[in-house]
Amino acid sequence: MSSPRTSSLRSPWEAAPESSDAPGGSPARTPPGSPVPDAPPERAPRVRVVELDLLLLVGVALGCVGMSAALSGPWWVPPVAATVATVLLVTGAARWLRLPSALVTVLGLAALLLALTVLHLSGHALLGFIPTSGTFTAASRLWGGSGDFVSRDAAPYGAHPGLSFVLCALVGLVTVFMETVLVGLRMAGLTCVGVLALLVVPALTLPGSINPLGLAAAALAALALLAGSRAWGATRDQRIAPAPGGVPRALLVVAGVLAVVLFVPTVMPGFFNGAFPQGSSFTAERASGVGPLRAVGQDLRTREPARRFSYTTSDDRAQYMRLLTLSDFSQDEWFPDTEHLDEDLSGLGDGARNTVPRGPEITAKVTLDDFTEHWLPAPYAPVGVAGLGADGWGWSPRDLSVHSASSGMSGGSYTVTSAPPQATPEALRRAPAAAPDAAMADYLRLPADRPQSLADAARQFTDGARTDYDRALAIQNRLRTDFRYDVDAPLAQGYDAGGMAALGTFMKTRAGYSGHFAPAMALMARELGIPARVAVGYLPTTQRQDANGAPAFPVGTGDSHAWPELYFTGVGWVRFEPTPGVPSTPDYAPDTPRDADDGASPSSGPGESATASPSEPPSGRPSAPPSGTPQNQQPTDRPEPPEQRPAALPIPWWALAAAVLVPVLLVLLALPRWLRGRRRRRRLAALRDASLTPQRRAGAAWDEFCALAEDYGVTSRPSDTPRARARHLAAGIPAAHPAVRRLVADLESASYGAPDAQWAPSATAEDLARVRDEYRHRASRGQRLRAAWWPASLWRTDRGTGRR
Amino acid sequence: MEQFASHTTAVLDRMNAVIDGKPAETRTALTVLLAGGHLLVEDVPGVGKTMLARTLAGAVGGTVNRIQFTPDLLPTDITGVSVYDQARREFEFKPGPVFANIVIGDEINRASAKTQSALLEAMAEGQVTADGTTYRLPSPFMVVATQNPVEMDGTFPLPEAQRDRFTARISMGYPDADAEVAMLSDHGGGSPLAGAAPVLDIDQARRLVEHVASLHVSTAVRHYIVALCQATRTHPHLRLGASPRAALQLQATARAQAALSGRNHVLPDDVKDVAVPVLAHRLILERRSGADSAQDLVRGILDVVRVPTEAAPRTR
Repeated sequence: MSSPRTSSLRSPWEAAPESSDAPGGSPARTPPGSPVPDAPPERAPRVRVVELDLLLLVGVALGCVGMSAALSGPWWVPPVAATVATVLLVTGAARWLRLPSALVTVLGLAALLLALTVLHLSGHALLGFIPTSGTFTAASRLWGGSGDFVSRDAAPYGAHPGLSFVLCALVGLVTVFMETVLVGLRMAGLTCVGVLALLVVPALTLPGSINPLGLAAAALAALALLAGSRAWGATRDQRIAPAPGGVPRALLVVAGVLAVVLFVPTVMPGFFNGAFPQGSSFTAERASGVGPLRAVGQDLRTREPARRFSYTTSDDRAQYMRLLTLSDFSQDEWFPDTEHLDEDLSGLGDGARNTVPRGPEITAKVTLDDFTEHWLPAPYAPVGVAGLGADGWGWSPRDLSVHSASSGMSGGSYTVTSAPPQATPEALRRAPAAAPDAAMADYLRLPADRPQSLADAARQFTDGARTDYDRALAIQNRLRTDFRYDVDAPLAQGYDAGGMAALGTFMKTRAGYSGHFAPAMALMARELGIPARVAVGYLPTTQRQDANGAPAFPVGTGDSHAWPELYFTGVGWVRFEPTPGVPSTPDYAPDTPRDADDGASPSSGPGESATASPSEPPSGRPSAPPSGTPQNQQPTDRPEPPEQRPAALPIPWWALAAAVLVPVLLVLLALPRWLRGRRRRRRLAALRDASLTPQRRAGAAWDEFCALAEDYGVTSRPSDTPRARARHLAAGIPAAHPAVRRLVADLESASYGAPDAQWAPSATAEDLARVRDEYRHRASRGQRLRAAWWPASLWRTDRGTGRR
Repeated sequence: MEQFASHTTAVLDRMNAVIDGKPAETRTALTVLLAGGHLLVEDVPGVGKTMLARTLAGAVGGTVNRIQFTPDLLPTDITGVSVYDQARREFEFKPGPVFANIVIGDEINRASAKTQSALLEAMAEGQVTADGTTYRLPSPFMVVATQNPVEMDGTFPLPEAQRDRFTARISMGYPDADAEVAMLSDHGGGSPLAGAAPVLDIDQARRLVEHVASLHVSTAVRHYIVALCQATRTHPHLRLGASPRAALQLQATARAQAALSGRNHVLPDDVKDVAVPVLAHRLILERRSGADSAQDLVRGILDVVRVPTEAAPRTR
């Protein structure tokens, strides 16, 4: 027992003097007033618990720096700090009292629950702090509320009770995890996973939360945890002691890690702009104050697609169902003009027919399902609407959209007659440049804060194009080929549709959805002098049987879309389709193959057959006859491009919780087995270690034998002598009796025999393996499982010896 | 000592040939002899108490004296008297019956306390002092005292404190039927001891005792012995626990037990084997404890006290 080696076999807590007088520790190792160096070893563990808890506090705080970028102001700091402090106080006190490690973790979780209840749910708890079922209901409401809040608002987020609750819960869970791993299990490396969780969880929850500062702080947190765990002995292996010259080397490591952390993201494409799935929203419930283009994005991202309405048309062709147009891009959020409405719907037809020459009319019968918009979906250009109620309607003479003062149109139905513009490439190419009259001035106005990149791109794209039509076509096709469809990246990186700043980012990242492509093309057209506006509505869809068995075109949230409309004198407002992946380019503005970017130039030949090149997919051919199947081909093709509807990342709260809890649970589940294995390896090492006393060597093998028996449910009384114990424990395994006899003989000669310098154990690790095999062989499946994963011997120590 | 096993086996065989069906008792008797202690046999008359003592003495070839304790027995009847030798004109010490290798004290509780104590002093000190002169008793010296627990009229029961001087107490008990039948056939034609030569001489017996005293007792076993004794002192059902002398005698007896088992070190098993006969007769039960017997209490303590497998941690 007096051998210095024995201490290394015990808990490192008891080996305080070894590491405390090792050279090269950081200056923080012995805080002022700390009795560590002179204190008796029995007191050392408690002092270290305090230090390790402070270390955890620093680690968690550094890990939280990454979240600050996504949160506006320090409003979240007090509740999160209070939660973490509560958890650490309770667990620290439990460690101080030397409660079992598993109990400490449970207490930590209980402390977290208490902190969450007191801080956020005191109104729903008994006496303000005892959770009841109502508390959990309120908690789930808070959680859901935070999801709404995050999806509705853009980062950085202001104070919000739900978000505060989520942050406290996540940070608290991570704190419990880190405390268990660092102080309980002394696995400092694994503790850094907690820092990573602090970084990843908000990254998934909150847009724009990964920034260089946060990364650097997280790296520092990991380094601090590793260094502190060494300094205060929270390592499993005493050989990993602080090395000489530790401070300069540590500084070097810190500098290197920081360099890598700050350098790699700037070099790695997609780290900050899209590939990393940041800020996938919880829900896509729309809130007031959201512009139509952002609403399109929310509809596209929603995890719960809803059917908005369905319609049938007189010619059985799916239509772009237009709701409204946007022409004023001067604000950060773009809204349609609702001030110049004409309340006399009967004037609609005249207004439409007066604008431009029209061809044949089509009739669409629309049945609204779950529809809360103020604008009526209708194919452009509506000339008459029938079946609406009497009051509250108005139409815009400027863009022919129909508006309702109330939004309660769900369940209603109406018939709309439209006269689509008859555009052909020839007509468009012939169209003269727009006259600078007052009517078109609004559609040519450019916001002062528009990004220069927009104008530059417009000129670059249209270089060589002679007519407005060719320019428009070039812009459309360049946007379709050079840009990328991504509905999630803009939200994640804070440039969701709306505002010139977002459009500038879009021109840089070249990734977005129709809410970006449509205004981009519209503004580019304006740069070139083509009157343009953005229409918002729904894509053509595939015909399906409705509830009555009649064919109809159902339209849902996933069909939300925006597109630019350009004005050509003599033709009128003409739709273009710059969004990549949407195959239904207009007949008059065909898509071009990717390898022929400049194929839209007029030099490719006269006539429409030239622009509609032979490589065109059939769906885009202008000559498609109005028969049933080809008509529906356009919508059918739509889901084909893989990037058009990337799977939104549906991360509900329970999945997040599972992502955090499942690894923790797995680690906890595997823990007993691992601890048992470690104990066995230590004992076998002690058996072989000739420098130990015979008592320790034989005792180690003997303890392992008794532990094996206990694992398989065979126990004996401590008042039994070794012989009696062996007889009892090995009664069921006669095949292992020789091995057991050797174990007993070793123990008796070592413990009770006369001291013998030549003593060597007669039992070997193979004897113990034999015993184990025999026990396993005779045990039931359940016993084997229990012995492997929940070994009973783990929970018992021999009182009096302290030997495990 | 190479012949230890053969010698002790021969003694046991001889004893078991005479005492039928009592191998445990004969072994305990030999153990006590080897431990240098004294034996108290407590049982009803006629179960072979005296026969056990005589057989043991006869087997080891020592001198045997038998003292029948009666109420009028005087201390000098045991230790011996100084008689005036008129021829030489001086007092001459006539050694009493206590001067023998094995002294059989029959019905020791029939003598007065004064007489009992004369024997007990000889047991404790191994010497007799008469008229200012000290006479050493022969070695090995063993007292085998018998006591009848049933017939209590006119007796002076040994005070419990006095019993402490006896290393072990055994109770012969009735033999089982087979053993009794065998006894009838063996003992039908006179004493079975008649004509039987000793299997050892007294020097050999002395060497056996010396060998036993040299056996190694580890610290762990000593801790165990002390723990057992301490457990008797703190036991709620006991008014008087085992004394330090009991611990010493428990160690000595465990040594003998280990030697009989052919080992040169003592195991906790040896301690357990001898704990009941060595400890039980020294304990005084609480009056209203409800405990069955001291033997059961000792067995209970043996079932509770942890057997150490290593020395207790050194206290700083």
